[in-house]
This record gives sequence, structure tokens and C-alpha cells, in this order.
Amino acid sequence: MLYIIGLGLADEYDITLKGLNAIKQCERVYLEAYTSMLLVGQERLESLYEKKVIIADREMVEQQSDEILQNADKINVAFLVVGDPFGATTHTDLVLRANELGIEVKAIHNSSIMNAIGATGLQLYNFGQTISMVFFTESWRPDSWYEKIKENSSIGLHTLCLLDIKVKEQSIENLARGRKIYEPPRYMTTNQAISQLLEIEQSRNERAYTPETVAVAVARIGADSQKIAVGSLKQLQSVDMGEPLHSLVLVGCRLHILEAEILRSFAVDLPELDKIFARDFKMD
Amino acid sequence: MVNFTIDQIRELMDHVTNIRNMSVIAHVDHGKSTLTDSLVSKAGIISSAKAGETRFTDTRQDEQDRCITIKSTAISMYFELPEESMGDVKQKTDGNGFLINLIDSPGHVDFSSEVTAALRVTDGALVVVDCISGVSVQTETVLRQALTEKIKPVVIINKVDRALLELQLQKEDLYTTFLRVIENVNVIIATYFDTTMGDLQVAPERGTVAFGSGLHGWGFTLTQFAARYSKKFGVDKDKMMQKLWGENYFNPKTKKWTSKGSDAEGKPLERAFNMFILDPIFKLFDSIMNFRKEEALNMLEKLDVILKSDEKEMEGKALLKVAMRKFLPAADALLEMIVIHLPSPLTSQNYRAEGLYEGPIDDECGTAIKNCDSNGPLMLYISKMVPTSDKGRFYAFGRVFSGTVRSGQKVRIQGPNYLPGKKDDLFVKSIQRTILMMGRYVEPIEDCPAGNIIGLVGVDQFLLKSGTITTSDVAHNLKVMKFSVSPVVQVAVDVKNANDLPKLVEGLKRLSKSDPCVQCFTSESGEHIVAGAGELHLEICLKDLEEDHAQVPLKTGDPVVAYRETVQSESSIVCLSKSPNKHNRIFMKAMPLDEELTQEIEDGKITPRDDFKIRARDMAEKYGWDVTDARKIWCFGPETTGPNLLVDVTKGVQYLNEIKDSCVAAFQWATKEGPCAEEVMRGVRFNILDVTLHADAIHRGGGQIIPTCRRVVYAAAMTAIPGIQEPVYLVEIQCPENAIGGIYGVLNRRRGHVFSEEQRPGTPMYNVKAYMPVNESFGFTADLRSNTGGQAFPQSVFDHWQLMNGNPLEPGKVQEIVLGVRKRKGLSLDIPPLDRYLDKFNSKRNDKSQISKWIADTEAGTSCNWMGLELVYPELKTHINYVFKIRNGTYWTARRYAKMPILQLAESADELQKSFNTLTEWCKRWDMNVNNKKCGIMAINCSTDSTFKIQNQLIPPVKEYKYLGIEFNDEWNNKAFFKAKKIKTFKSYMGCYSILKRNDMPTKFKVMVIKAIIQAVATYARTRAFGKWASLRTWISDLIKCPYKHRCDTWAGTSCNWMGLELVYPELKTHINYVFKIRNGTYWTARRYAKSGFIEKRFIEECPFCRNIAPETIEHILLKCSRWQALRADTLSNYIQTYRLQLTLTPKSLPASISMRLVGKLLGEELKLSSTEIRKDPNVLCVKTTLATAKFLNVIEISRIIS
Repeated sequence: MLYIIGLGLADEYDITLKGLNAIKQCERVYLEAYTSMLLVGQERLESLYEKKVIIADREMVEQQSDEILQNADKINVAFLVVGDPFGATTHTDLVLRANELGIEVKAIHNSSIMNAIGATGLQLYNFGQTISMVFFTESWRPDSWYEKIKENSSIGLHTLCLLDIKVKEQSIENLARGRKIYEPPRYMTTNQAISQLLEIEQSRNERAYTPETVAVAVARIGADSQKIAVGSLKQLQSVDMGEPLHSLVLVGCRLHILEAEILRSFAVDLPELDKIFARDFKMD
Repeated sequence: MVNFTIDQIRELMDHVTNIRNMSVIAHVDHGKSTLTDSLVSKAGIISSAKAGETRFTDTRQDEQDRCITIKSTAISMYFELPEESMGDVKQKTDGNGFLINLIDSPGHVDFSSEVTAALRVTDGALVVVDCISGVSVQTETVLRQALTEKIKPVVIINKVDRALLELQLQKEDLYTTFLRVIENVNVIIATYFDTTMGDLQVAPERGTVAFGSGLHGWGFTLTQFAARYSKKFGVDKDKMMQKLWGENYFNPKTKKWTSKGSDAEGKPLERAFNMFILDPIFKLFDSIMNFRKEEALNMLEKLDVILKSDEKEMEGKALLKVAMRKFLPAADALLEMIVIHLPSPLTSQNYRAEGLYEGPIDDECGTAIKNCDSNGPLMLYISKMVPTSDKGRFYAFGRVFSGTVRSGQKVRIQGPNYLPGKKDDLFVKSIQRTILMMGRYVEPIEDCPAGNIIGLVGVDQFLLKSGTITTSDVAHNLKVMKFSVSPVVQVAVDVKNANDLPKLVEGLKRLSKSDPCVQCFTSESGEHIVAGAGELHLEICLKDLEEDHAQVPLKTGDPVVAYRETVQSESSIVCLSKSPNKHNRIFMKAMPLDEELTQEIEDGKITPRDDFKIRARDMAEKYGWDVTDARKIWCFGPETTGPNLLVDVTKGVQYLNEIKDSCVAAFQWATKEGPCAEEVMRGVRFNILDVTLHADAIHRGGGQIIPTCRRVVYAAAMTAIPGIQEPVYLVEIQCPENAIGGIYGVLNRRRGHVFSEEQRPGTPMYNVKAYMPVNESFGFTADLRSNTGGQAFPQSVFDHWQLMNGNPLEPGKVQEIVLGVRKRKGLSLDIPPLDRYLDKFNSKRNDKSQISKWIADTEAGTSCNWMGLELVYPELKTHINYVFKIRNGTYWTARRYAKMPILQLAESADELQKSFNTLTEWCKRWDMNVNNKKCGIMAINCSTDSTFKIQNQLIPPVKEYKYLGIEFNDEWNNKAFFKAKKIKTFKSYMGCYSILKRNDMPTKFKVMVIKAIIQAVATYARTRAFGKWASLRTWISDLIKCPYKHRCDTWAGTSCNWMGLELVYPELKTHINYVFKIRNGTYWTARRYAKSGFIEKRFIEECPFCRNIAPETIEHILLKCSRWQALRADTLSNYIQTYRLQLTLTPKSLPASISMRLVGKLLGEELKLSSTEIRKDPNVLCVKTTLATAKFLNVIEISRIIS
């Protein structure tokens, strides 16, 4: 049996009881460590689970999945995923491969940024399509997400922007030559995401959002040091959210009065925010 | 003593109209450096007595020792043109003092990169031609280089003394020799002529050809003699020049000029050139060499040549040299010619600017270059690096094209990879000093205005080999030089003492700087590689490296050559690679590029910088590319300029341009290191057929796409019969007749072949031209000398890449070479298998739709869009679809069978022999041989005593046979084989196999089982290319239940069910059979063989229907192809006949669409065109074809004419 277990958002204690019990029955435990990351180290996981945890990087999951699935039809194997098992599409492939080998798969869910974003006070019902923001390079500046934001904002929905992390990436040259030399890890900050957002808005100028659009910057959701800041994109551009992981929400115009109330409590500059609310949302 | 000072020179530098920058270029040993000496002696730098012996510009010890120029050397000279000649200068001047910057260049091909570097900084060229050996291969090469750089040539015919003393030529013979040389030069000039430069042809009567002897230091142009005689005859100098060359004769009796070779009485007259010019020279030679000194001294006196008393004491050659030098000083004649006929920087930059500057010609830098403006922004091109006496540092040698360069000036140093507005390859630094390069010496100089050649100190560490120096922020680069040779010979170097390694690394850096052409790099396995143009070049480089640059003892490996990887056919399958996360897929095919197109790319005639529309049009016209494809060339590779193309032939893929950069990056690396031996790829076109991408950008970033694209490029190349190309030299050998035998012997041993052997007119020397692989060239010169008694002198120049016969994936010589390269590079010792790069289609994962899409797009779309046909001819839709289906089927089958063994199954011995006879016929037709060692006869549950023959070769009976990966034996008892195989496919054979084993089963059924099931499953099941069935089990059960029906669908049957088609459409029988015949096997197989050169190329060029040379395009078939039109007319008339019958008889069995239309027509209605808009434009294909349809209907006598 292959257990795909969600670990939750912040530290080792976020795991569900069901998940913990499953781990205890497993012979091998893999931790997927590239689509997201926990805010604590591997050792703390190991001491809680009383099991050795094998770090599975991108290469292992994507290219050597056979190793993970080995014997899994006879013994139990746990595959730990930060957040919810199916938060990132990448793991559907593992499930498919397990199916092919006739291995039973069981997923144990947990919270993910997709639902924990409710901490900002915005109602999950009012979210539109989620986008992810990648690191721009000199020549690679994909902006296909712009359409999605535009669609969301046109019907007044909020947009959750997930920000790129590069934990173990190769440089272009090393990729092209197939060398396994990795770049240092990088995490996108809300500041960078906002400047990329504004850059594309400036070049396309279709007013999917403006520097005046209200946004929510969040960092380390679910951890003790969780931080939420609300303001216009322009304001947030200079707000330091601290350690990774960051996410960003663009607030849609269909804002409920209660949502606005909570957002005010996180405002970086309350009078300014009230002004924008009054102007854009007709709220006093 | 130096007869001019640096200050004088500096002053002259400001008079840009009085500067002449020129290079001396020629074939090796034609006497450039020697001739340069006599010019230098005029400037007083060396004594005139030594001129001709010193080789002043050969500054290096090894140059002096070997008597060969290796590095080009610059020198500045001052020359005052006599007042009376000033009128001859046809361009703007400023006083009669001229500054001549001369660069002496090497003549050996291995160093022709030095020539390129010299030509870039000069405006004119003095082409030296040996009057005995004439225009040689390198003369042509350098002249061509000069003309492409827009350099104006003048010619000196050198070594005239040898013609007189050694060959003892007569006057008229000498004249014809001269004439021939000049003609040859003019032929080359005419070939590479550029209209912007005006008339470039050289002619003695215009004063652009000189004659002389560099060794003796004498020389003349017609100008000197014309000046002498014009006074005597009282004729205008220009008119006199005309008279002194060509068909002009002087009759001494009548004192009249004539253009006929004989006088009124028919006596031959002497040519004016012979009479007035050659005669005094011949007499002088004759009298001195025959020691009639009195006569000689008298003559000299008449000629106003004054000898000093000690010179009068000399005898023989020494006297001759002195006398001739005083009579006709070479320096005066040449310098005059240079000053009068070569352009000043002001003149030349006007027409060169456009070719030199990469940016727009009307920006500030472009304008300044065009006007050679000393006050404009600085534009300086560094063409090479010259080592200083201070080890490890270099003078940057170059030409100021505009502005003024000063010591201490802050400048932008832009390397070749600099792009305006970016910061790559850009440094802003100060120039430490500016210097004047004077052969062996350098002179510091304060500043240097536009139009001059200059050396810079302090910029060497910022430039690799060459670059642009400017003061303007917006300046683009000056164009990078294009070398005519490429570094094809490599050698690995290593230090003898491991501690010296850092010195070697440093030395390699310096070596790479000091030579424009050499390449130094570190291989994957950590070896240091030095690559040069030829053996000699490499030898010199290694010597420099050991003695000057690294100064440590070195050991060198055997020289090896670089190969190129290519492909020999189109990929046999559509290759698919999935990204690591499996969410992105790229589909690709590779195919060879036209060799001519490849060369045009390599020569820089087709470049990525061209306007893509113009480029696409050219490629469509010249190479038959589809214009849409040619417009969607994503990139060239490697290095973004190489001769491999990545073409996007996808249709409507979302987000495609977001992955373009990743694909381009991957393509660059993949083409730089090919799949077989990690050698550079060459001449391959990669088509991206389709792409499936994840919806979210984060999952299709470079990390996912780059490795995928690289893998699919490799997979595409490996499925397209990879090939290896080796470099080939063009070898030119001069030798006397008796040495020719030796040459052939040596060349044969070295896989060379002679393609031209000519005697040089007027000499006993032969000129032999041959192609020889570079790989075999090591030690060739020495070998040749020893085999011909030192009489043969070869000149080898890289000529082309040649495909080696064989496939690196199959054992053989090519594979050995590939493995050798891999071993040398420290790679794994076997070629990576295809499955490392190729991913499988997976029928479970929704690929079904993709596959059918694929087949339609690639197989049907590549040559003729059958799908489109049905839209135009709705009445033929059904059977066009059938044709389409069958065409795909047979095409695939033919391809597969060419690769896999052929299995002939027969129920009796007679029948088997009959099928062998057919095969023999087929082989005979295409001129192929069957390898009978691979053939075998195996009885299935029976026995036979007959013998079988194919192509008159006996086929032996065998006990066991392996077919499509399955082992058979005539006992039918190798069940273990199937059990051992874990693969499901093989397990599924078990069922079939048990049928074969049963004794009660008639052979007929067993044959059917093999044909319908085993063959089908074995061929396709492993790749699962066909996605119709969800699982193997159902497929096989379908096959067993209804083999006939499903076999057609698997395409495994040798023939599809044409018979059925005939029955359904009896009226189309003739042409269905025709199409079938062409399409089935023969045509496609023939096409494949035609591509590989096995059979006539005609088979791929002609339309399969009408047999005219025409592409198989829809337009051709619809509008031009006579055969198809005839068939269609037949068909339609048949329809109409049938319909006429039906109208009377009433049964309705025709397809509805055609019936409707025909009814209308027969009843006299107009043919309705569906869209009025289309109707307006008769150029639209659809309208054309509809009108064509109308025409047919008229032809077959439909009563009403359709408007």
C-alpha cells in the first residue's frame, strides 16, 4: 500500500492522527521536498515519527519513481507531501504509475494553502482560479496567468497567487548538458511577485488589476510566525514579509462587508485602505 | 637610416586622403615577404643592399628559419609621389606625401585566418603572383577573401627573373605568360564582383599590374615606360600606356602604330610590349649574364643608370641585381601603383561601411564610419592580438574606422557577443597607450585619427581575440570576421610535470589570444585540447605554447580530427519525450537538410539575422521549403548560427511561445553535442510536430522543458539513421611529370582521390588536385616528399564535410570511430541507447486522440494534404478517404519492413519459390542484393526436399529462426522462451503458440495465425503505437476472432483490403488500382532508396501520377497533373453515365452529394459555389479547382455551360 500523506502547513505536529498512524505502519517513508517546504527540519520529523525519513527531491520523484514504488504491493510505503497530497498536480503521475503496477494507493488529506488562505478573512467561496507566479528570467517571462486574473476580476473573484520556489534547480547550461549541478535554493517574495505583476500589467495594460488594487500578502500561514498584510499592491511592494514561504491574494470587487472588516484589521495603512474601500467598493 | 620620423608620420595621419592601408597577399612562396623587403628598403628601414634577403617582416625566429611567414606584420612607410604623377591619382588628395600602412600576410593556407585579420584593417591589397606557378589555390582563396571584405586588388607578377634565367623564356612566351596570369586573376575577380566598388578588373594598360622580381628588387608598371617613351614620341602618357599592351605593334620602318601583327608586306611585327619594354630588359640580362660587360655598361649609360665605381666591379648576378635595381627600382613602381590605384580610407569606407557595421548605417556611428570622420564617435575594430616583449601581454592591433583614439581615453570594449543595450561582453576601461606598429619595433604615439592602423596597450585582458572599441553608448558592433578555415585538427596537450599545470592553463589562454583561428578548450574528460586549421598551424601553435606562452615542457597526443554528426533520413517514427513531471510532451522528427542549404548557412549567406520573410521566400524558391515552415524557423544551432534548424510545424498550440526559449536553449546544447559521439551536429532539420503542455506556467518552466527538448532532439536524430561526417581537404600538388606516380600511390593509401590533373601551360610542372580526408593527412607532406624525391609540394585546405558510409548504431568502421571519440572524450564506451531519450506512447493515458492526430499531420500532411482534397472534391470524398487510409498503411509498412526481416509464408514449396521469384524480380529492379546468409527456410509442421533459390543463391534450411524477437524452432517446443519473457506481449503469444503446436491443425491455419496475429502483435505491440484497443488481451482476441478486419487496422498486413474497395466502387477500379500500385510498397520504398542515393533521384522529384518533375502538392495534383485529371474526368463521366441511366431506370445508388449536384446540372441549373466571396477571387485555390471541375463537366458534354 502506498500512503500519500499530507503533512499540513507549518511543522511536524500538523500531521493528522490518521496520517501519523499510517506512517507508523510503513517500512519506508519518503518526504517530497520540492513543491513546497515545511518550516522545520527533517530531524524533527524523524524524532516524532520514530522512522527514518528519506528526502525525495524532484529527480527522485519524477525520474526514479520505481524506487519509491518498489515492493509497495507487499509492504507499506509512505510518501509525505507538504500541505495536501493533491495540492500540487505533480503527484497524480505517481498515483497513475502505482495503479499501473497494481499498487493500492491511499491518500490522507490535510490542510493546504488552498484552504488555509481563509485565514485572511476572505471567503473561500469567493476565490476564482488559482495562478502560480514563476521567477522571470531575462528571456522567459510567461504571462499566461494574466488572462486568468482578468477572468477572475471580471466576475469579482479573488485570485490566489502561489509563488515559485526553486529548491534544487539546475542552471540552463547544466540542464541542457544533463549535468547534476544545482543552484542555491530560492523562494519568491511577495515583493518580487508584485513587481512582476505590475510589470505585466504595464506592458499589457488591460486593467486586470492596477497598483491601487487591494491585495493580501501572507507569509508562513499556519506557523506561529504567520504574517498577513493588507494594502494596495503599491503599498505592499515595500512591505517585508520576512522568511519564506509567501503567497499573495488579489482581492476581487465582490467583497463582502465582513471580509472587508477583517481585512481592515491587517491593514498596513488603515486610513489609506479605508480610502480605497470607499473609492473602489463604495464602503464607508 | 630611417628616412622619416614618427612626428612626420603622425602629421600624415591627419591627412586621411593621403593614407593607403594595404595588405600583401598571395599563395605561399610567391614572394610576398621578399617583395615587402624592397618596399621597406625604400623607407630606409633596412639597407637596400640587403633587400630581398632579410625578410624584414618575418619577425620571428621560426619564420626566418623556415622561410615562411606565420604571423602578419604591419609596417608604416612614407612615400612622396613625384609631382608629375599627381594627376594620375583619381581621388581626393592633400599634398604629395603619402603614408602607406602595409601588412605582410602569410601565404600558407593554415594561416589564412591571419590574412582575414589583415584584410579587415586594410582597404587595398597587393596580390603577388609567381609568373611561373601562376594563379594557385591560395591566390584564389585570399583574393576571394579580399573581395568579400570589399578590398580593392592590384597585382604584381613576381619572379620574372626566374622566367628569364631559369626557363629562358622568349619575349612573346613571357608576354603570353603574363597575359594568362592576368586573365586568371580577372576571372576570379569577376566571380566575386561587388557593384558598389566599381570596376575592379586589373589591367597593365591602366597601371594596376606590375611586373618584377622581389628577390632582385626591381619592378615596373607600364606607367614608368610610358613616361619615358611619351617624351620621346611626343605622345600623351595615357595613350602611350594603351599602346604598350595588348594587340599593338610598331612598325619601325614606317614609324606607324598598327593593331595588326604583320606589316603591309606580311612580315611579322614585334609587339609593342616586347619591343619597348621587354627588349631592353632582355638585352641587359643577356649582356650581363654572358659577361659582355662593356656592352652592358654602355647600355646602362644610355638608360641613365649611374653605377658607383665599386658596383662597376661586380660581375654576373650581383651586377645584374644592382643594375636592374637602379634601372627599374621596384619600390618606386609599386608604391606609385599603390598610391595611385588603391583607395584611401575616405574612399573605401564609403562603400565598406555597410558591410562593416552591424547597426543601422544611418545612426551616428554608421555615418561617422561612412565619412571616416575623425571627430565622430570612436569606432575601432581589433582584428588580432600581437604578443609583446613582456610575456603574457598583448598589443591589440586594429583599425580606427571613425573618431580618434588617444592614450588614457576611456572607451567601451565590446566583445563579439555584445548586444546593444545589454551588458554582456562589455567593459568600460581606459586605453593605457596607443602605439604605432613598425615591423620589429613599436613606437609610442599620442593619438590616432580615423583611417589608420594602430596598436593599443591595456585592452588585451578584456578581449578574447577580436572586438569593437567605441566611445558611443549606442554603438553596435563592427561585424565579426568570417574565417575561411575552421579548426578541424585537434590535439590534446598535457604537461610533463604535474606541477606545471597552472602554467599550461595560463599558456593556453595566451595562445588562444595570440592567434585568430586557434581554439583552446577543455574536454569533458579534463583534457586540454588545442584545435587548429592544419598540421602546420597546430605545430606552430604547440611550439609557441611550449616555448613562449606556457614555458613548460609539454607532451602532446596524436592529432585527431573533429567530426560532425548528422542524419541520413527522416526519423522512422514520431519521437516523443516527456518532461520529468510527465505533464509536458514534445513530439519531434528529424530529417537531413540539403547539403547546399547547409553550406549556405555555414558561409553566412543564410543567417538567423535575416529578415524571416525574405529568408523564407529564398528557402522556398531555392530548396523547396514550405514557406510557412520556413517562416517558423525557431533557431539555428549550435551557437545560434550553426547549420541545424529547429522548425515549429505545430498547429495552434497554446502557450507555445512560452517554451520557445527553453527549447532554443536545449537545442543549442543538443546540437553542440550530438547523440552519438558528442560531436557538433550538422545539416539536420528538427521539426517540432506537436507539444502538450501543462496549463500552469510553473510546471512548464525551463527545468521541465529543457531536458525534455534535448532528449527528444537526440531521439529524433537517432531514429533518423544517424551519420558521421568527416572533414575533407582539397589538396593541390605541384610536381614534375615523373613524380605523379608517387603522388597517386600516397593518395591511394590515404583514401584520397584525384579529380583533376593538368599540366601548367609553358612549364613541365603538373597540377594535381585531390580530395583527401583530414584524418589521413597527418604526415602527408613528409610522406609525399619521400615518395616523390622531394619534388612534390602539397597545399591542403579544408574543403567540405563528407558523409562516411555507415551507421554509428550498427557495428562497423563508423561505430569504431564513434567509440574512439567517446573513449577520447572520457564518455561511457557505448552509444546511449535510444530508449534513454525516447518515451513511449501510453495508450492508457489518453494518447489515442493524439496518435490519430499525429498520423494525419505527419504522414498525410508532409507531402500531400489528402484531407484538403476531400473538401474540394466532395463527390470523391469517400474514396479519397480510403486512399488516405491505405496510403498511410502501406507507407508505414514499407518503412517497417525495410528495417525488419521479411517473412514469407507459404503453404507449398511451389508457392514459396514463387514468392522468392517475386522478391528476386523486385531486387533486380532496384538493383539490390539479398544476403542469403541471413535467409533460412523453416518448415512448420511438415517437411520438404525441395531446394529454394533467391537471386540464384541457395537458401539453406534452418532449425531455428528468430523473427521479430520471437524464437521459433521446427519442433515448436520452445515454450520456455515465452515463459522466460516477462513482457506481457510475449506472454500473450502463448495462446497462438499452442495452436501452432497442435498436429491436428492444418498448416493453412497456422500460416494464418502467424500472419494475422504474431506478425501484427510482434511488430506493433511493443511500441503500442496503435491505440485503438484498450488492452493487449482484447486486441489479440479481436485479431483471432476477426483477423481480416482488424489486421487492416493494425497496418501489419502486407496489403490492405483493396479488393474490397474495388467491389464497392466498380467505376473507380482502374484508378484505385493505379493509386494502389504506386502507393503500395514500391513507390515509398523507391522513394526511400532514392533519398539514400541507391536509385535514381527522379523517384522523389517526380509526381507519382503524371511522372513529370513536380512536387506532390495538392495544387499540382488538382490543377496540373495530367494523369490525375484524366482519371477524374473518367470518374466523373462514369458517374454521369450512370446517372443518365439512373434517370431512365430510377434506381438510386449514387452518393447523395454527387447525385444532388448532378441532377441539378443535368436539369440545367447553375453550379452553386458555396461562398460568394471566394468566387470573386480567381486566385483562391478552391475557386481554381471549382473552375477546373466546371471545365471537366464541360469537356464531358454537360449541356449547360457553368458561369
